[in-house]
Amino acid sequence: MKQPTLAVLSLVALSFAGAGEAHAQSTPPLTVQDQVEIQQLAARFAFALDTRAGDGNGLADLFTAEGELVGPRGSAKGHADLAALARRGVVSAERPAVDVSHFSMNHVIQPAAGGATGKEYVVVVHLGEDARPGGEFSNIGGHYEDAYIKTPAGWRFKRREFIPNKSAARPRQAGAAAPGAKPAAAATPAPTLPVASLTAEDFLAIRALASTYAYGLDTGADNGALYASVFTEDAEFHGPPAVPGGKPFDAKGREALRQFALVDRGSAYVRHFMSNHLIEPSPEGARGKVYLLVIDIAEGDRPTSVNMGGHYEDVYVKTAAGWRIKSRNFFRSKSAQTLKAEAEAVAGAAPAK
Amino acid sequence: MRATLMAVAVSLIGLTPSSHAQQPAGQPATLTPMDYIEIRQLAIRYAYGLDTAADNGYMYADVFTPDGEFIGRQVPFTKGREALARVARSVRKANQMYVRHFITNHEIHPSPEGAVGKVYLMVVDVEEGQPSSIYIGGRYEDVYVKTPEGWRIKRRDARNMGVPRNPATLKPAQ
Repeated sequence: MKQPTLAVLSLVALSFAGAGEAHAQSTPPLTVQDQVEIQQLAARFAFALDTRAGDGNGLADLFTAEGELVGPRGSAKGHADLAALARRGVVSAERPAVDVSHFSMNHVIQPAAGGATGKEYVVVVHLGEDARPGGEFSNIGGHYEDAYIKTPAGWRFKRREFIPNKSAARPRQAGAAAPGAKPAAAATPAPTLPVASLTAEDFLAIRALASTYAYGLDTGADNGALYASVFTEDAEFHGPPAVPGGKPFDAKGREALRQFALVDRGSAYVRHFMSNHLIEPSPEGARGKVYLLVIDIAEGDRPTSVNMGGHYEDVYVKTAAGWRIKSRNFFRSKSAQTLKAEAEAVAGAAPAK
Repeated sequence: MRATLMAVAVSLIGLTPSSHAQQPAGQPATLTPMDYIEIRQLAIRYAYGLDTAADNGYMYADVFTPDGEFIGRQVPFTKGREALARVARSVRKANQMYVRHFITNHEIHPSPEGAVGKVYLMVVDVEEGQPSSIYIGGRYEDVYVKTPEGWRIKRRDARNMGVPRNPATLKPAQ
């Protein structure tokens, strides 16, 4: 197995909030070890929060001594306050029935002065509450915005803020120029290679594409340019009709894709939850599949609901600007029984020969 | 002890020790970033294997060691490749288009055997024209070992789950 050495992750092209290349170049790079450790930190946060491990100290220990957890109901700063918050519960005074409640996805990480920053989607799920079967999505969902610091004991949260989901749908004028958007770099296709192993850097960069895709689509950031930036210049995206009987979705080229993400819903909007990102090497570079749940988090009197689910099938290529999606196809989830019924319906509708 | 301190030192400066480094007996081996990535991919392939029943159930079975074990609340104790493949083949709704097992928050730690981990699971029934629902959720607790073919699940404990939803209780789509 190839061992990763000191590696620099090129996240510049996928940076958020208009962070320019100059800024990224002045911040220390993150190694793959850093990325993996920060991902693990985020995973441990959910477990520590839901299990109230160590009488609350499990959560507090993930933060620096002066670390802070902020939410709409207030904040806790420092080890004692964080432990106390974990003991009494963030969502409810009652511990989750199966100690599982905060489902986090779409974790993106980038280097920053002093350490790193990140964002992650989260939705709170009630499982087995009051001995009820199955589970229910709660009315709580949104995203975290994080600052991480590397300490002698490893990476820790300096600050984690939960920002509840909020839609501020403001459709932009189609064709409007993307302010601050950089001219797309010419996508230099990777040479045709035999199927080569992917490095840790490759896996992390490809995972970041899927997460960035979600942020780009849900926020409409940079007039759709963030969404479009995960694709090659000549990328294609195909999907089923949005409504039964409607027109299938077909987009070709980065500009057409940018137009698709032109709705500015605001930076607090979360909807496309990605998980199960399977990545394998391929002759083109890599192929992948990603599960998708489109969750409409509760707003006003409308409860949380699942709008749709399915999976993407992707082809990725390594360009001069880094890994990009060359093609993406979305498939709604269908059981074997549904497929059989559809096939029978088509066969039944076909004219007799 | 010396090997462990060296592993910590090189990890702090971004270099990672070989996953094959010799470790004192009983001490957990250090995991490289690729080990974390491969173990996460293993858990992900588990979900695809179960939801698609691909390769006649063997995509699911082959994420386990040949003597791998699954312990669940609904599925009885299952051990070995053939028995695990039968479990995947028994999923009536499985096919290449089906998604149901959503996993997140995969926490992984080195252990003397290789690694241990915990991962959240949400089983969501979602199809166009039908009510969506969470069938069951909870977490898996795993033991992983590194074999010549790569990381594999030696044991997956799925008992920390809630009570599954009875499909008969779902309201029909409006």
